[in-house]
Amino acid sequence: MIGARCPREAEVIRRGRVGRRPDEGSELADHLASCPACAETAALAAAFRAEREGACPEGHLPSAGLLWWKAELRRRHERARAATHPIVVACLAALVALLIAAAGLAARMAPEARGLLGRLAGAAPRSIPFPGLDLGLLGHPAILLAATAALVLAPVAVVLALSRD
Amino acid sequence: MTVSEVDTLARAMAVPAAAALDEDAFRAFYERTARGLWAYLSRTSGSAEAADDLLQESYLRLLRCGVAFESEDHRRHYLFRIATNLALDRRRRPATLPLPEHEIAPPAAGPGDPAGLLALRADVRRALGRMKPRERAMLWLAYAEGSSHEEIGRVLGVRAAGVRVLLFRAKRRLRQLLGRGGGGRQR
Repeated sequence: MIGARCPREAEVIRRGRVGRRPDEGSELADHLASCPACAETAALAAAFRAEREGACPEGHLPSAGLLWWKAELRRRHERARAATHPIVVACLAALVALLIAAAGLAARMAPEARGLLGRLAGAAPRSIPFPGLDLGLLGHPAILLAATAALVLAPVAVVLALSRD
Repeated sequence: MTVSEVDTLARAMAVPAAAALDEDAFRAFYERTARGLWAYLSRTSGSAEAADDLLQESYLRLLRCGVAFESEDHRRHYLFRIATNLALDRRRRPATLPLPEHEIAPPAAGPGDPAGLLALRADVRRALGRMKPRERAMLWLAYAEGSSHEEIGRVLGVRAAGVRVLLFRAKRRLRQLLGRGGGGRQR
């Protein structure tokens, strides 16, 4: 039965595959009687096939209809996910951009906001502790804090959106 | 009707393979292949419960794959390949996993089982339980499914020449486990 111990091994297995024994007195039957390797192959193939037949009734097979229905559900779920993913990501990105722009505009355009920020920052240091570095409005601690938060939270939001099932 | 008879009938009818299965075609394909696949999975994975899960997942993935199959056999090999990969992934951790004791119990006699075949079945089952999943898969495909080297290669993702060598080793190991020698290096 080993590898190419006998070149007719494949033929013996093929014959067994369709459940046919060689006819009595046929050339293959004579070969099986005279070739121990092929005889052993035939016996093992018969044992495997019997094992296959015997194993089948043990299975608790689901119905084909149930599997088809499950596959349909999966397909729908995947289509929905594929359709909504870019929308979710785009919404998050737009929201973050909007927040940053709004904060920047408010700080630049509205004197009231400047005053408010100034009052809010009254207790905080007036500038960031880097000598010689002038960031303009971004140098204000409140704005800097908001920009940092946006920069940190934006990738987190994107990661969360992409990993959500 | 036995599994072999169903297979033989399906081959004889030369079932045309549609690129995409509709529900009726899937039902027919499932009827023709599910029991054989379950037997393959249960004997290569060593667990009836695992075979139940793997069988479902295999068909679900087949339905999702969107491959245009050339023939019924092509689709069947692809299904066995999916199942094999799932089973191997599941069993990546232990190199061998013995079949549970109840699985090793002597098989029930079938109507046409002579005593010698029954004993050999029990021996084969016990030996398979001590082999690696890949070896089990190869031997099962070769003997139980009657697959050629090329077909085994397609299922296991190995070239036919590689199958020849790996199958040779698996058979030698089977012989050793069956107490039939096989320590030689004949090829």
